[in-house]
Amino acid sequence: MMGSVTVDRIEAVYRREHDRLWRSLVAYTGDTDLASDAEAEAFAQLIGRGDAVKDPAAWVWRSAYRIAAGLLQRSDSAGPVPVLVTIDDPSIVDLLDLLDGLSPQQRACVVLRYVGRFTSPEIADFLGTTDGTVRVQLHRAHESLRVTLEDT
Amino acid sequence: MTDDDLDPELDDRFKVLDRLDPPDVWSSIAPSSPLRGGAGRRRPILAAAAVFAALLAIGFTISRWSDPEQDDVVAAGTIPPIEQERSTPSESAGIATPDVVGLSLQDAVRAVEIAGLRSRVVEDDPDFGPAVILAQEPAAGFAASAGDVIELRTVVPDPPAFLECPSGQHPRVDVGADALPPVDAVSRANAEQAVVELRGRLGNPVFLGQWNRWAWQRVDGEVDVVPVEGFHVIVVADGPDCGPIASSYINGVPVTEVKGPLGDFVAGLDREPFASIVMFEVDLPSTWAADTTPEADLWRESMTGDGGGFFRARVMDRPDRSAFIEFVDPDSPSLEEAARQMTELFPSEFGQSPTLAKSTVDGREGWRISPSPDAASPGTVTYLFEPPGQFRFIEIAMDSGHEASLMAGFRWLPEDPPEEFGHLATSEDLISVARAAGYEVSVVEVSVVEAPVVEASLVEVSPAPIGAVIDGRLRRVCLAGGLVRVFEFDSVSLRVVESDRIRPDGQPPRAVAAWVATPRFYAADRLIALYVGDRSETFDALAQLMGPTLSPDATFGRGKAGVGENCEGELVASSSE
Repeated sequence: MMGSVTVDRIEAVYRREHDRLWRSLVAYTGDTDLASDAEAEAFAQLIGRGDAVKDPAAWVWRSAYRIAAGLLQRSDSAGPVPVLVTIDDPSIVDLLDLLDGLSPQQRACVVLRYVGRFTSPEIADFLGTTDGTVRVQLHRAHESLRVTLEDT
Repeated sequence: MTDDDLDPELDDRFKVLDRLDPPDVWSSIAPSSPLRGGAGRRRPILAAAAVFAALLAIGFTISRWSDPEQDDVVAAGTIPPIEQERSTPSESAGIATPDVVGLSLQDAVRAVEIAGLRSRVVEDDPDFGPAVILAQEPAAGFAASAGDVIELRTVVPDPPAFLECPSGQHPRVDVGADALPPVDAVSRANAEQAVVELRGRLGNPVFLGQWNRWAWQRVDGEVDVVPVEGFHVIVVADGPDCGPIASSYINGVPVTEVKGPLGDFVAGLDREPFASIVMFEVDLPSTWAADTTPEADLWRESMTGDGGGFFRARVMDRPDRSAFIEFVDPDSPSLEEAARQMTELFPSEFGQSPTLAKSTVDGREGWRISPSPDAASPGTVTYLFEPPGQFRFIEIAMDSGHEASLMAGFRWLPEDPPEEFGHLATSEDLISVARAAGYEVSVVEVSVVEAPVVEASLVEVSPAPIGAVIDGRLRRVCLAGGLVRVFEFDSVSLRVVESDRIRPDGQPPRAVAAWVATPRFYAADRLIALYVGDRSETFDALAQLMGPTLSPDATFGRGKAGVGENCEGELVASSSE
């Protein structure tokens, strides 16, 4: 049975990480609903694990991105991603369009670096890859974004 | 890492995200929330639905879609509008609530969504067991309107199986001869047990694999070769969500999660063991030696014909001496191109302007990569050699006096066909074996055979290659008076991928189906057979020819009892009833 202390601890993590995590997931997925789904799922699973998770913040970031990747893949398989009706800020739409040109892995790395402000070893941990791979992805993402920005 | 590497313009652009107002997610997941049943409950994940795609995915040739109660007909090869997927037993304008009792929670939620309805989950006794639907309100067949809520009464499921994404660093660190696992340290029995365990937990194809490794170190000038081998479990995944590979241990058995396009990967199992890139990372002490001595022939022999892949080793106790070893698969381009790929893949290790040059070491010609001064390990020189034989490899040589190497070979262990059932590669083989056993058996030559379902809905989009393989290989056989649908596969591995997903209750892979009678699945060698009905002469024959049914818990559900398909595909009373 879940103790109230554990729930309080997880809620504290939620209060601390929620804004940054949700916004980064929006940038990663381009979909506010999908971002909310992924975050909710990650916290739900975190609650289910309770004290078994030593670092809840890192765990929830890692899980949320993994879940979001799965949801993205499903939505890709199911057809076009729903039109974004909840974001009407043109600057945000421009940013999402810019990120849409990256591969999912590059997008995850860039978003975790710029929005999450995580280091490449931390990003590697979240994405289940290596520090070197993250650096490569960041490098390539920077080059791709730079070219896109120069063209626009 | 500081923020020095951040692009200022890009950094500014990301700041617009601060204008987004994050919604309250916590209230929907907190255990005390009325919106949530309790810890572990997940929001349903939507999946696409298409009746014809579902039937094609499980291999039926559909000439028309028939609901016996309303005689609804849709032309073959078309995807009907959503209204035609729903049966309407009582009101033409309503949606018949689907029968989800007995389904897993996930399948039930999907089936409800496919019908255009919504679901609400009500928990029951948490100690009951697995998450299956115990009851539903309203009951199946009730005329509902689009968007209506069906209450699903179930149990609290355990948190879903969740294979953690590891850090990417091999968790069992080889730090020297003393730490090397002994031969057969991971027994085949343990590995097989882990395969069974994982197949029950994961929807992914899971295979038994064997690895062997030759490692050596130089002791007093002599090369001491240590053979290491064992078994591991290979989980084939099709998502990019966990990186190219993840390794973890379950009950002491290494589990390798291989990433790549699932269809391509599985389809390539029998032809090319490593159609996808496989990457490992291990830690090595700098005392380990690599050499181009005759001992290298040992591991070359162990590698012959078994596989290649991508292998990476890092000298952890000497961070200034990072090193890499790669086995390049036979389809790789030239050695020079492989060297260029290496430098491109790992610019931090080789720097932005490494130098490539032909080089000769111990009489062997290869390519030498010298990192540029900005590399993480400017003192590390990497040599690439192409050995005789099928596989190319890359050896590394540390700067003078420090060398490191680790070699690995892997191969798949496809499951052997059960010998007692004969070699069942095609439906003709099944016919031969059946005749030899004294059964009346023949090929059914008909142009149209109805899909033996009352209704079916896709619950998961399958990778196209898998669906395509099944779709094109359906044969029909008349066995002991009953119609048997036989699905042929190119390999045992491909068959296992599908047969593993047939549920004991008779639900096929990737679909929720309501059968016209009791479905009975069988599998052996490269075949999966399906007989729908209660004709004991037929299913007893299948059991004798192919082994026990894969669906022992199947019932006729919304179909009928005491009937079965005859060889013309008609539903008739079973003679044994």
